[in-house]
Amino acid sequence: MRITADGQMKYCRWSKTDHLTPIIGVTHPLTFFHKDMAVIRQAMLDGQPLLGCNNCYTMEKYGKVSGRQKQLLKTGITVTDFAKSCVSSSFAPEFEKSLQQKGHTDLLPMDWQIDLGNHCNSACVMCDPISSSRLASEFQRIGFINKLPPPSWTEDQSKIDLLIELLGKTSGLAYLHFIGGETLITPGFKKILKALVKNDFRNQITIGLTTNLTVWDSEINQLLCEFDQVHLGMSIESMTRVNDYVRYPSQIQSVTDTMHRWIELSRTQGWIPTIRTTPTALTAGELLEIYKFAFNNQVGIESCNFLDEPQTLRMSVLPVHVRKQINNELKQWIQKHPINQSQIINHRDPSHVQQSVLQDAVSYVNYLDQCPDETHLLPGTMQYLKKLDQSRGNCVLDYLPEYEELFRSAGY
Amino acid sequence: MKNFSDLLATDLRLNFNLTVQPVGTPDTEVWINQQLIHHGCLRGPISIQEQLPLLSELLVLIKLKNKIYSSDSESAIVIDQLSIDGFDIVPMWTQLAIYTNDQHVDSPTAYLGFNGEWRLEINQPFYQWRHQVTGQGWLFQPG
Repeated sequence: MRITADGQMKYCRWSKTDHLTPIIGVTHPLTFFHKDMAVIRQAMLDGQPLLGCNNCYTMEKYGKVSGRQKQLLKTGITVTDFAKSCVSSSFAPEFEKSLQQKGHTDLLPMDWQIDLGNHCNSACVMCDPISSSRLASEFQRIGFINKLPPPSWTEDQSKIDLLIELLGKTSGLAYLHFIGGETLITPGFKKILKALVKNDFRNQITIGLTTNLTVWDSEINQLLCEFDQVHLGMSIESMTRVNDYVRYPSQIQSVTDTMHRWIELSRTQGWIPTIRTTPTALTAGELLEIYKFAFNNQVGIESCNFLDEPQTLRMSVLPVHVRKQINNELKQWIQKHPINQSQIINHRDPSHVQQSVLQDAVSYVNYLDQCPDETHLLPGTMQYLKKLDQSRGNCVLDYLPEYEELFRSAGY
Repeated sequence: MKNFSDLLATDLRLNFNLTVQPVGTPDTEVWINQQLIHHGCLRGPISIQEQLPLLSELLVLIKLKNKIYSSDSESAIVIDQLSIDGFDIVPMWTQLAIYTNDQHVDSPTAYLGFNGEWRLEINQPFYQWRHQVTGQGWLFQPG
């Protein structure tokens, strides 16, 4: 289950819905989980494909491990042996009960993604106001939005208390993944961690978090060290100053220094560090160096999906010849390494990190090869970047000079 | 299978394959889930294909008996293949079986040259077991 930055509750961290869903505090999370989600469970039991799962279906189409596959695996179900592994799952009796009760369940959510809000010190070009307060202010100033998004739900202590109370009652609680905004500067993160320590969940649950590598907070690190297992997501798009442009206004030297500190801390503590990327048209050409870094440093890599929004930054806006050139370099690197043919779904298995990195690279090769041509969106991309650049006093071509001809021809 | 009701109504079974062959004429017993499949001298390869219940536990027991080392140093049983639903336990995961014998050699093997037994025991539904032995990570339990 997921709580979004503005407090909406969703049935899955990867699900995409174009309608508003109930807000925590207005609706109790358990009411959402038991009643609202019954419709989703019933649809799944009826074998219906879900619109909200489209991003995952797309990922699977290009050979990328999807969120759906990862979540199913936690219950012992694999897509390749779906029928048999589903009946064999220890959740099968619960599915059967749910079938008899029109999608109802007596269970409690044991795996959460908690978006803490949009409190953020970055204004990444592919982000949105709901996830970044800095971007929200900028978008309002330059006229992209009329009003700021609603406040983060974690600014309301009663909502945090509601969540903590529910987590405290969940005997099978297993995983909590936190994202921001920037997780480490969002006050709610520390509050929830302290409550989890107080409720003695330290040995039971795994904490996951994603950080933008601009913050190092010793107090939070100490709190994290209280937990047996931490999954650390580190957001970076490029090993060069392209990252400064895309994840504005970060500084690559500082970002990579912080990343190395996190990796070192992770090694010391037995945590699992993963690079979290959001590849876009601006960073498709940066992927190779990111993959190399991950591969050489035995750090996993994970991108949530092939970018859906904003449309104008999808890789598919790049002309085929540009995509081919990027792909050729990726393919040359991939071919230097033997690839395991069986797909690794559990990318957090330390013994398969390098294979997992290679397989993710292959999925991007497939995508760049086969994704639909959306070059007609490129003028929109240029309009968007021009406005941002005017606002920030920078120029995308200073960072990506190789795209000058292309971008100029599209109206930059 | 279109939905969960269909799935529950389907008799899903595991495809079990076992092939063993002799070196010499070893006195052999092959058991699958307390059922004696072969008993006596093994004079040629035997191949067993069975459809097992999806959720049942599994015990495969292969015994070499009455070998007299002083007069017969060669005879042995070789497990060529043991697979369940295409998952090759032998030769890929031989270390998952326990080999006990009168020479106290317990290293993983599919070549049984000593008096004793080779035992593969799966005490949970096969697909849950496979998840765990292949390192697929978390396996949440309801509750």
